[in-house]
Amino acid sequence: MSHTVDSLKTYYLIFLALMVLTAVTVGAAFIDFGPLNISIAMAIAILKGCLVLWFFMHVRHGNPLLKIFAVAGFLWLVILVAFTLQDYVTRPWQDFEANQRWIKHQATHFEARAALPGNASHGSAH
Amino acid sequence: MAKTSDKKSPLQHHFVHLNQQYDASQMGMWAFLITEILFFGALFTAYIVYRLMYPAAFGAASSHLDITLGAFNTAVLIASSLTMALAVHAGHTGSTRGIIKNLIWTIVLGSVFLGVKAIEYSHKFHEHLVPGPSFSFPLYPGAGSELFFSLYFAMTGLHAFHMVIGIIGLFILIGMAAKGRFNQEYSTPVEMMGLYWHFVDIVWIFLFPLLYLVLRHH
Repeated sequence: MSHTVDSLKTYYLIFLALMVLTAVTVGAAFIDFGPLNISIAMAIAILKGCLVLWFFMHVRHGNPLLKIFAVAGFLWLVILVAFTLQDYVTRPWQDFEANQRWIKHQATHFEARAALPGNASHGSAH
Repeated sequence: MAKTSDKKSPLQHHFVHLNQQYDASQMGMWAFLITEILFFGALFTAYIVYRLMYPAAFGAASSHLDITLGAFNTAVLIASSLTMALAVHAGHTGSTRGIIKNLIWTIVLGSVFLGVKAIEYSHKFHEHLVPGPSFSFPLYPGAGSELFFSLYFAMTGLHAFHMVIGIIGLFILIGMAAKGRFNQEYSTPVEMMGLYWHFVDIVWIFLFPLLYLVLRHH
């Protein structure tokens, strides 16, 4: 049976592109782009992933059904993430870390009080 | 292998011709890879949720990972993807020698990756960064950093497990190649293994920035 045989040059060029993009993503991480840092990192990762899919995994030589398969997998991943986040993102998580610290502070305070002499036999576990 | 028909043919009796068998192999492999995307996808989703909940803790914990080893491993894995692609190419051109040579390189690079990972893990054990009773991260105490390291071990652990399976598969392929199973007409197992190996590479391409590069500019 016949395969579309790529030239070796294609593979070496894609390898080079992936290495350069790795260097770029490391470099970009050390520069403060504010909220854009994560977007840049993910954009580079998606580009690298697409290069691997398209050239190394030969999706470009695949029949239409294979291309649908390849897209479908990532489409379902997007559904998984998007539907989960539509719940979490619409809650006030911004204050979550601060709230956690407040709860911990209250708990310590309570334990300290419970440990005081004459202050009940229950409570202080530690 | 196809003992019912011609002993030398890789065509199994339930397929009409090699092209049909190849298409079926390819579709089956991709269906498996889609389940793998969602398998890892659940961990990535958990990561996204907890990073939204604990952005500062994730930043502090991430910056504690060894970025040099992480970037080195990324380069090693990309190089192993290249040698895997070259092995598949050798299969298409009918070079058994080329298949074996490139698969050996892929195994070597995959093992280097796992070796570096083992060094990183042992550092984490010594620094009490493994989630559990002895976990301690004084730089940023609290649940957030412990969750980060839980996800770090779960995600890199599952990834490393896939690499181990992959390396075992590569050894099997070398055995098949040495027995002369592959020729220009038929090297489908090498190609399917290539799909798996590249997929594992893609997972790491996302793991590296998400785990090592969260908050490096501070």
